[in-house]
Amino acid sequence: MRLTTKWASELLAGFAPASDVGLSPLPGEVDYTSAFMRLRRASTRLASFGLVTAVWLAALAPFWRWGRFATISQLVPAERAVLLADLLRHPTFAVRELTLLLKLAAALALLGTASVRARSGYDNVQGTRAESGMRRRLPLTAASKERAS
Amino acid sequence: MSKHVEDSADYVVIGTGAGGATAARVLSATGASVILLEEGPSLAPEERALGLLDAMSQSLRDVATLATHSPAPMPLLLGRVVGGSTAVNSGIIWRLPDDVRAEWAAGHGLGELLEERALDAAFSRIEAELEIGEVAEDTRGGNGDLLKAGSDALGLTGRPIRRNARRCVGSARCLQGCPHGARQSMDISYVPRAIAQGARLHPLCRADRIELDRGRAGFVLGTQLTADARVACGTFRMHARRAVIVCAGAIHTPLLLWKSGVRKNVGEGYQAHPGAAVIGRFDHQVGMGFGATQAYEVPLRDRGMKIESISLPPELLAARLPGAGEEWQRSLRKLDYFAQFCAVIRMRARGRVRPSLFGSPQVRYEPLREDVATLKEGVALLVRLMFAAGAVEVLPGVAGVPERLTRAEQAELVLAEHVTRRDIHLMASHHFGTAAAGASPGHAVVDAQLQCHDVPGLYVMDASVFPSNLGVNPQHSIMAIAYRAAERLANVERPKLRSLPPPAAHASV
Ligand SMILES: Cc1cc2nc3c(=O)[nH]c(=O)nc-3n(C[C@H](O)[C@H](O)[C@H](O)COP(=O)(O)OP(=O)(O)OC[C@H]3O[C@@H](n4cnc5c(N)ncnc54)[C@H](O)[C@@H]3O)c2cc1C
Ligand code: SF4
Repeated sequence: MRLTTKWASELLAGFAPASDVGLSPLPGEVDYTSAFMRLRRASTRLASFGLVTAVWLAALAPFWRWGRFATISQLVPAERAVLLADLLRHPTFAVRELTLLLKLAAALALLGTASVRARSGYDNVQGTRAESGMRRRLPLTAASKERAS
Repeated sequence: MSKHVEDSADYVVIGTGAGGATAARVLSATGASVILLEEGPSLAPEERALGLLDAMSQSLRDVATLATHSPAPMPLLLGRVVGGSTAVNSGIIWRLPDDVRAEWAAGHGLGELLEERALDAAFSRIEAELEIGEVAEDTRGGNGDLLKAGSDALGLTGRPIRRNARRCVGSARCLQGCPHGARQSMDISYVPRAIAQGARLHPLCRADRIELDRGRAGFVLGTQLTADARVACGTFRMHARRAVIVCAGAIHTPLLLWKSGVRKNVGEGYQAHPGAAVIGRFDHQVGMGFGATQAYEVPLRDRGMKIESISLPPELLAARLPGAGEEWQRSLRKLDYFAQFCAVIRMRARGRVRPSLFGSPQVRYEPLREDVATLKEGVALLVRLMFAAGAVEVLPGVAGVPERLTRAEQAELVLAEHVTRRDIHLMASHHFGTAAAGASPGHAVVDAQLQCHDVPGLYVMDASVFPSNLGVNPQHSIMAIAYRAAERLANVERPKLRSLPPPAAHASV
């Protein structure tokens, strides 16, 4: 199980490696391991089994997908992202869906981290009001108060 | 340390969602004693977590991983918390459509239960008590604005959604539970009201079995759970002097009945309103993070679907954006530029719910060919609506179709022959029909009083009793039917009851 957790953490982090482009977590900012373990514990038996299967499938993908005698651990971050993107578009339904399950876990960990969420722009409502042109009346202040607190 | 609790009351109600809380609200108002059992925890608005994993762990069953047993599993969303699914829903309110009422009355012998004037009176009372009103323009949010713009441009008739949240401030996080107590879900409205009228709530108590007492349903046996509602920490035995009322929802009610030895027709006829969603990227900020979670709708019942704006928590929005690495990270930086609409389909398919070897629900369900055709039509319409609203790029989320569409005509690609059920992600949050009501014991589980044909004193008052799905959001119909059934039960059981008090100006107790 330790190996599963180690691979899970590497895989989840692999979706958003350190980069100058877009949203990139700082080293140690996101706790992928605990998100993965919490998700597993709270899931149905079948989904928990699915998560573990997904980890093994993706961790061993360098071998069965690229013919490289390696696991995810041996890939550099940029290669991990390429591999995961490839699995998400795989023609086999099960491969696609299991990889998507990992991506969901990664998103839960990533955007569940307050500092990362703040950088994502999701809560950027002030800008919406000013720029969208769709809104005729401004949203109530209670919502902005909540956001500011 | 393991503990055991015993309690007794006139009525024991299992489940505190739309059905259970309403039944408890009506019965406790008559002066009867009521015990409310709930598997999930009791949460105050300020305890609702913002992060989705935390929030789902608190109040969504199995963090939304329960899914159908089918080649392409469909996740089934269910609340497991005081307030049931109403505590995590979007508060959309629709009355039971007339054609469904007529069909249930004529085809299933439910005429008396659904008697028009009495049912309308129940609807009106609930509407007065739960602060029902249209989403105001200033809380429609960018997502709702865009669906309005898209439907206006396509000449479709849309409207602001009616919700039980007149005091909504637009924090777009109904799925995590309303932190302001603005949405009048059952945990905010009818459960506290029932408690104020004398009902006793036992959260973190899962009913496992119902037993007879002198030929009638009399005892509920179950397990007490720790705060995360997953680990057993004790047992309980509740005595119902008059009736046991099962309101565990259409997935768990049949399970409980089955485990209690009530099996005839139980779990058969499961129906749902599966939904699929499409995301659009705009060249201006949309701000899905502000507005009523669901604000605008385009009802298309004659076409078997309903279109709604639906704001996603950022975690779910992120998971839906294509790619990994830089491609994904670029999109994540601009989460405020996306909008999402969904199509909810009135599917004709019927499935079945049974306990698995481990005692958890096993739901077998597969959309019919005609359902898939309607679904594809719905998704194609969503694509067109997004472009009509001004999207620069639409992400249909359909395998076998390009991930990013740039022209409205590409909506046709979704309709292609090669696109199958497996290629479209479905999700269902409206469940029905697994302990159907009907006059005939040959086909139904409960009669027109919602009492089990086979077990006196055992009632079901939740979405399980619906003989079919509706094509509209169901919580109001569930509440009104539970309201009617509980009133009728109270009058049968206790002829000299105090009459119910007049509707309150506000839902608070
Ligand atoms: C995310 C989401 C959004 C939705 N949005 C809307 C909407 O906007 N409008 C609308 O009309 N409908 C909506 N719905 C559907 C609506 O909320 C449900 O149809 C309705 O709440 C069902 O009522 P119910 O009483 O049948 O079951 P529920 O409300 O699900 O209540 C069942 C309760 O029973 C408890 N329970 C189960 N088993 C046991 C047991 N063994 N012992 C003790 N307790 C048990 C559960 O924990 C739960 O609290 C939504 C649902 C979801 C999940
Ligand atoms: S959108 Fe409105 S009802 Fe929903 S959580 Fe926010 S304030 Fe509450």
